[in-house]
Parts: sequence; structure tokens; C-alpha cells
Amino acid sequence: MTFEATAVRVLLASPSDTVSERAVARTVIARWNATHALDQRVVLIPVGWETDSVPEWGDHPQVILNRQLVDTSDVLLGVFWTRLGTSTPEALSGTVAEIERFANSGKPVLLYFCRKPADLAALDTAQLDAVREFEAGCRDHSLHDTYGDTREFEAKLGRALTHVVAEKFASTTGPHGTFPRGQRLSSAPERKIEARLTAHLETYGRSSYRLVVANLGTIELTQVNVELPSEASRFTLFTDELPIDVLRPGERVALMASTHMGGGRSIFDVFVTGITPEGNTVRFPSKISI
Amino acid sequence: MEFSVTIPLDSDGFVRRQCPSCQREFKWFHGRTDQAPEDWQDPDTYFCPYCGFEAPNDAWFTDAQAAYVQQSLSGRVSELLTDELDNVARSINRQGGMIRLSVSGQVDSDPPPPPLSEPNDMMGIAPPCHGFEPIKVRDDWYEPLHCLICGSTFTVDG
Repeated sequence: MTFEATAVRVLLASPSDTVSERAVARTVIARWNATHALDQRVVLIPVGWETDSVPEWGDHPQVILNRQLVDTSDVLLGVFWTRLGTSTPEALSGTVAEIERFANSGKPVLLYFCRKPADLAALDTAQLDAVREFEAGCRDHSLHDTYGDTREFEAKLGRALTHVVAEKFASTTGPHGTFPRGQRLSSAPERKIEARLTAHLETYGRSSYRLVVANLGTIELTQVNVELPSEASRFTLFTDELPIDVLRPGERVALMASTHMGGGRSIFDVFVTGITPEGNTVRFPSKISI
Repeated sequence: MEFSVTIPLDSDGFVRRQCPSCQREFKWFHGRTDQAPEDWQDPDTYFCPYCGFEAPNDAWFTDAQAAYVQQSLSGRVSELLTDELDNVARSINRQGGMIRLSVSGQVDSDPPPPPLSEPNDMMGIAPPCHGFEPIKVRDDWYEPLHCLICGSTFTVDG
């Protein structure tokens, strides 16, 4: 299947100490495409010097990179950790040059500063100071973000990509008429007619428990009972109240229970059984941990 | 150890949710509708109807629900701690000897919070792709929406 889409080039701009972030960014972009490209009619294309630049003679490398990558991209993802990068004739570093050029042309810049721990023995303090100074200078004219680990970076970047596509590229995703149409509900949905019994343990003091049996289905069940497996020998259920004559949808009952020392498993399944109005027996397992 | 806290549904059977990313509130249907396939399994993640953000199915509590849960659990844990201190004192005193321990007072805890209520607000929508997983969204929302289950974008007339 083919579909028409707007290709948005996302430039990865970061110094050499953020190699893992560049890989993560490519993964996040791939995941965003898998989830949103078809229905948003937008495809994000990661762009980086390591994959998208080609050798060229006759100018400063940064000028060539600007021409090949910066000017042809639509969104810039900038990431700094402990290094600002190598200085260029026009800027504090190549990455800073790319960010400034991008921002000056009015294109969106997603800027992140990493807060994860660094190896002190390998730290270039002059570079770190330069990053801190650059970050401080950014506060007056940008909204940037920080992250403490890869997971946080992934979450924040995914969210930012969704936001920037909606803000900057939504008009090119096609008129709303091209999307499939949902329906307004004129009445409350009908709940599925089904039997569902559960059990879970609630604590009442040090070794006193209640096994709470609940009818989470939509039909009334009778003769509700609880079966304990043989391996639950550390667990005692007071069964005086069983079976429960009727348990209506939404109702729950708490049965006294206790635990004691000795053998037996601390994690096991109990089975909650009942009889439907049609006379069928239903049986549901519930995981119990004591 | 397990505690249960009750979060109310509106009269149509929907529970209020809040996107962890855009913070907007919506509702999803609690349980299954009669249109759900027999073998349908609830997904591990859901998508925000407004911004399309994907998050685990336990990440959608509203601020009010989270505060309610925290306050409810704080009271239950305090009860448990008081109970446990009593048990420790009883255990030491039973052993006899020179030391006798008495516990007075209670572990400080907030009073139980007033129960949450759930008005029957917002407009109900059935997505075109997963119509058996309806949602409720803000009445003033005119932008495309995302399916709760697969994140696909769709629109609604009017």
C-alpha cells in the first residue's frame, strides 16, 4: 500500500559524547513513524552527518554541512551532555552553529541537556563549563528541556515530535476530511453480558487478611465459592460464609483469612466459581500473593 | 500487601482519565461493551485521544484521582503502622523481663478523603477502527482525535 505524505527531515545535532542519544533518537523517530505516519500523513526522516553528508571540496567543513544538512532539514534535535563541541570560524562549536543557523531561519529547534552522571576521569571541564554557559545563555531565548536517563529522553522526545508535527506540519497532513470518521454516541454503550469473578487479598493488621471476592461482570451469580489449591497450605480461609447465595454485579464480599509459618507457596491461584442464571458453572482464577 | 480504592464511573459507565503528556481529561469505558470481540484482550498501553501520546494503561489517573488514592492509602498505612506497633509491644511484654513497652497515641494520618464523584459530562465517541472501545472527550474539541487502542487519527462530524 502506498500513501502520500509530507517528509519532515529531523536533523540530529549533537557533539561527540552523545552517540547513544543519536541512536535513541533514530529509534524514537522510527517508532513515531510506525505509530503516526499513516494517519498523520507525515514521515519523519532522521538526518545526521554520519549517514547523510558526502565529501565535498572547497569550503570549511561546517559551511559544507550547513549546505548539505542544516539548510535542507525541517526540525533540529539538539542534545548536549558534557561537551559543547569543536569551535568553528563563526561559532562556539559546530553544533551551536547549526542550532543558531536553524533558529535564525525560523525552523523548530528541540533542545535537550543531559543530566546523567559522567565519568569524572574522562571529563573535559572546559568543555563542561562551555555547555553550562551555553545553557545559561539559552534561557533567555528558548524553552529547552533536560533528562536524567535514556527512558526519560525517549519519552520527552516522542512527546515533542508529536507536538511539533501537530504545530508545524498539521496543515500539510491533509484536510480533516481525509481521515476516517468516528461516530457520536447517542446513548450509553451496552455493557457486554458476561460473568466475571475476581478475588484479591486485603491486609487487616499483621497476619489478618480479608479475601475480597467481587462480581465484576454484568450478570448475577449464585452459589459463589472459593477453591484453594493444595500448595496454599500457609493460607487459611474461613469458609463459614461460603458459598455465597447471590453475588450481584458490582457487589463484593470480604472473607476472613490468615497466614501462618511453614511450607507451602506464597504465590498461588485461587479459583472463584459461581452459577449463571442459565445454570452454567463459571470458574475464574485469581493470583494471590501472601 | 494490597489495598483497594474505589474510583467512580459516570452513569454511562465511563471513568475519567488524564493524559500524562498533554494533561487533558477524557474518559474511557470501564469494562467491555457488547461489541467487543469474545477474545479481546485489554492492551498494555493506550493512546491519548487528543495528542496521540502512548503510555502504559496504569499511567492515566487524573490529578484528583491520584490525590484521592494517595490520601486513602496514607490513612490505611497509618492504621497498619499503629497496629504493627501494638503487636511489637505485646510481643515484648509477653516475653517478660525488665523491659515493658507501652504504645499510646496514633500514627498521624490525614482524615479519609471525601469520595470522588463523576458527573455525566463530555461527548461520547466511537472510533472508526475500534468502535467497541468508546471514549468521551471535551464538548469543545473540534480537532481530529486518536483511537485509544491503536492511536489512529479520525474525525467526528459536527
